[in-house]
Parts: sequence; C-alpha cells; structure tokens
Amino acid sequence: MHKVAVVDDNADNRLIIRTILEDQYEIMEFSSGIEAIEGFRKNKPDVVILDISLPEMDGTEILRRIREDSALHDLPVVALTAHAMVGDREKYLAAGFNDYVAKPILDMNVLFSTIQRWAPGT
Amino acid sequence: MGRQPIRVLLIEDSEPDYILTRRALSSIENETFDLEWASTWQTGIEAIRRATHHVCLLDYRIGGGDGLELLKESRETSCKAPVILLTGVSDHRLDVEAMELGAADFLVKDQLTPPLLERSIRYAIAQSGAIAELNRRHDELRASELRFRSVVQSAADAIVLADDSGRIIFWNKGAESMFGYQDEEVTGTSLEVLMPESYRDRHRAGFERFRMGGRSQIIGKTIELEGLRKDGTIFPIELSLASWTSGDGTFFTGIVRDITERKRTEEMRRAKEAAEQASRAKSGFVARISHELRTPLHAIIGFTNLLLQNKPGNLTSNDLDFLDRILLNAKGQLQLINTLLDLSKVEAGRVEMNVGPVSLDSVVREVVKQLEGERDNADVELEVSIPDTVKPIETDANKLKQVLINLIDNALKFTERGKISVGISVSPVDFQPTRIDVSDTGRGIPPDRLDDIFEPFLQLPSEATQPGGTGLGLSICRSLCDLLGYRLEVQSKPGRGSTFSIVLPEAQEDLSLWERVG
Repeated sequence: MHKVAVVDDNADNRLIIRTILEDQYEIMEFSSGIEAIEGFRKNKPDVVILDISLPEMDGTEILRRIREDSALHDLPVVALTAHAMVGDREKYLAAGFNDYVAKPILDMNVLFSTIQRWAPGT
Repeated sequence: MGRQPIRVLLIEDSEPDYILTRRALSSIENETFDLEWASTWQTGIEAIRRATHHVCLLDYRIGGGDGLELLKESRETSCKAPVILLTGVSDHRLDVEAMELGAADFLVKDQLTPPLLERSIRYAIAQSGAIAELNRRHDELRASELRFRSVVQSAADAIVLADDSGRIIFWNKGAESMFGYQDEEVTGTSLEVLMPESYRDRHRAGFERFRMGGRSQIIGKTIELEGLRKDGTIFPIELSLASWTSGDGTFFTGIVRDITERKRTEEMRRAKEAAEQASRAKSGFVARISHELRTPLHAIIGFTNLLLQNKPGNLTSNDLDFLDRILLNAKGQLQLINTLLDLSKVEAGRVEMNVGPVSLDSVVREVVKQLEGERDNADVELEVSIPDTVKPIETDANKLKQVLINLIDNALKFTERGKISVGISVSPVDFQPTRIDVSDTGRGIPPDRLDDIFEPFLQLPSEATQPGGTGLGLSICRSLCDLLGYRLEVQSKPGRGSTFSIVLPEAQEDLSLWERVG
C-alpha cells in the first residue's frame, strides 16, 4: 500500500481526507510542518498533501525544506488550499508543487484521481 | 609727477584777461593745467557741450551776453563739470545769484591770485565729485526703493508695517485684498482691527512686554493665527513677524498669508487618510474572520459529503435529502464568505498584481468556454464577437478573467431566454482593444438602482430570490477594474437587458477619434 502524508493543522480536515483515501492508501497525519519533515525522514511517504496556510511554518516554506533535503527532494507534493482564486493552480505549480487540490473537497473523485497520478492506489 | 593735468575751459572774450589767467595758472606749482580758451558765447557753449574739461572758468560778461545766462544754459547740458564765475567787480547780489544758479565759486578778477585760483579750482572739482557721488547714491536708493515697492505691492501675501505703538503705517495691495480695507482706511489705525476679538488681549500684552524691553515670543517666527476681514469673517492665517529699528524708532513688519486653502487641503487629506486606514483595518479584520468562519464550513461540507456516500447503506432517502440540504446551505455560506474575503483583499490592497502581455481574445474565449460547460439553461445562447486582429495588452490576466467570469455568470443568472454576447471592440487605427462588453437579454436594472449595483450588499429585491447570489460580485468586479486601471460601466433597459462594459484606458482617446471619424 502506498503511503500518503496529510499535513494540515485541522484534525477534521485530516479525518475527511483519511476517510476518502484510507481504503486504498496508508495515511500518515501531521499537524505541523516541523513534525511532518521529521516524520518524513524516518518514514518517507509516496505523496504529500500539504495545506498551504499553516500556523508557524506555512506550506510554501515546508515545500522549500523538502526540496532542499537530499532524501526528500523528489517527493511529490500536492498543495491543498482553501478558496481557490483564478490562477491559483498555475501559481502553486510555478512555486514547485507537483499538483493542486482546492478545499473544501466537493468532489471526492478529484482528490482521488489527483493522488493516483502520483501513487497508484491498491 | 604722475598727476594728470587738470583740463580748464576758460570762456572769456578779453584776450588780456585770458593771458593773465594763463599766466596765473602756469605759476601754480605742484599742478599742471591744460587751458582751453573760448572767446565767444558760441564757442563757449560748444566747448561745454563737448564736456572734455574738468572745470570751467566763466567770465560774467561774455561777448555782449550775460555770463549768468550761459551758466543757466550750461546747466541744461549733460556737462557736470563745475563752473567758477569770474567778474570784474565784487557784487554780493551777483554772487548769491551765481551760487543759486549752481556756480561753484565766484571770483573777482582784480583780487585773483594764483593760490586763490588754485584753491577755488580744487574745491570746485572736489565738491562736484562729492555731489556726483551723492547723486549716484540717491539714484541707487531710489532704484532700491522702487524694487522693494514693486516686490511688496505685487506680493499676494499681505505685508503690513506698524510702528511701536501698534499702528499701521504701511500696507500693500495684498493686504488690501486679503482684509478688505483700503490703504487710507487702515493707515494710522491699530493692528487690532485685523484680528478677532479673542486675540486682542494677548496681542496687547505681547506688544507691551516687547516695548518694555522684554523678548517677544513671536518675532522672527512663523505662527498660525486667525485674521479678521472688514466684512467680519474670520480666516486662518500664517504670520511671519520681524522687527527693525531705525533712527525713527522700532517698527514691525508682518507678512500674512491666507491659509484657508491649505487648511482645507490638510483637513481633507487627514480625513481621507483616516478613512483609508479605517477601511484597511476593516478589510484586514474581514480577511481574518473569514478564514476562521471558513474552516468549520470545510469540515461540515467534507463530512456531509462523506455521509452522502452512504457507504454502510443504512441511511434512508429522507436522511440523504436532509444531508443534501445541509450541503447546499453550507456551500452557499462558504461562497458568501469567500466572496467577502475576495472583496476585502482587493479593498485592502492585498492582492498581488501579475502584469504581462495578454491576448484579450483568448482570455474571452477561455472564460466563455469554461462557463458554457457549467451553465444549465439551454434557452440562453452564449455568443462571442471578436475582431480578427486584437493587439495584446499589458494586464493581469487572472484578475481580468475574474471580472469576466463574474459578469458573464451574472448575465447567465439573470437571463431566462435570449442570448448573452461577449464582445471586444478595438481601435480601427491600431487594433488596440478599447472595451469589452457583456450584454444580456435579461430582466435589466431599474434606472434608479444603476448606481447601487456596484455597492456591496445592495442587491435588488428580485435578485435576492436568485440562488447563490451574494450581492458582492459586482463590487469585486469594480474593485478589480479599479486595480487594473479600467472603468466598469453599465447600461440597462428594464425588461430588455443590460450591458456591462470594461473600458480600457487607451480607449478614451481612440474612441473620440473613432467617433469623429464616424
């Protein structure tokens, strides 16, 4: 089973994503960037779903650290943002994210197919 | 001896007297003289006009004429050389008359000795030099006075001079028009007429203190006060005060500037800044609160979605209907919050601009294509009208798209049947786009509401019944257009339809050209 890491400070959001994906993926939950990067070093996931607006270290900064880390730099990272503006997708892809999903997840299939692009489900 | 010889003009019709004079001059030591002799009235006046001499010795009786007449005439030429009158007899009356006519000296021939002649010549030259210097200084002073007067009189500021008892002794045209009094009305009156009652005690006290030898707190400074016009109006002034002392006593010069306009501008600027700051603070607050409001909604929507899957299969159709309603309401509220957040971001100036070359035709086609897929009313046609050539413009493509999405979305929402057309106009001269129009055949907007529709939360009553309307879409469009430097206009006929136009800035010139050509 491929491992999907969910980095979001909101437990409800993590649970929703877990519920959608857990039949086909092993889910790792992290509530902060520091915790996540430490966890990744011990147990590297196959895909990361990373909330952009986190307290303390925000998603863009966490992405930068992942890309700078020799062991983690090739991790596929999917940006998770609240309230998409026109052009947000292009903006986050340009910033180095591999993919992009908008909150709230109105269509579960969108999340599912996005994750599948980077790690096939079981 | 490096001394220049003194050039003497002798006007004398008697040859023996000429010889005597020449002899007297040549016997003077320490001084050399060049003597020019004119023996007639005519040659005399000509020599005076040439004015090559330092001093003129003029015989009282010359060629049957009167030396005094010649003296008078010589004064009217430009010759400034002193004239010494020579006469055969001593005559006090003549002496006085000659002096009055400007003669430097009056000598009696019989008493003439070389030392006397020498001294008289020397004094005459020295005196005329002193007079010339005095005249020069006088002229300078006059020119300076004229310069000063023209500066003072042409100044827009009021310039008021007062003596040490506080009486006005001079006042310029600027003061006249500022305070409304004529020069003669105020000259000699107290400065107090120019100040409102409330300032007079302080003025008197300050004046008294200064006169008693105390230091003034305002001399040499510029202060803000109030002035009183003849018509009784009080106005804000800026006063610069100086004092100076001459032989006649101590005087004060006040330069008064009417700062009504400046005060008004300052006030307006302060009010504007305060309003802008309040608006920014409000927008910042809205942005934060929106984030907090949104997060629980994400959870509500997410979990409702999960329940709607009905994975265990034990929910009734009634349960699922209720869940649908929860989801619909939550989504509606989320949209409202998101829109509010957009608006507050735009208003707080917290949106990044991303300007680059943009092809308007492809932007319009893209947006229309996207919305065409989403619309659900088959009775409405969505058409695009774009000229063959549209020059790319520098703009923020995403913000422009957002405006177009909102406008077309609105049009779709309020049009039951007919068509919505999106068109680009270009200048016929250089294909520069001038405007983008979104027209519908919908219900239209009553004329008295046209001004309101861009205001946040001022929805039309009929609009409120529409699903998913927040009343903020057009506010965002207008704020975004402001940000992009465009004008958002609307024209509407109730029952016939509305046209919203994004007017691009270059459009104004090109459009007028177009209209002229057309």
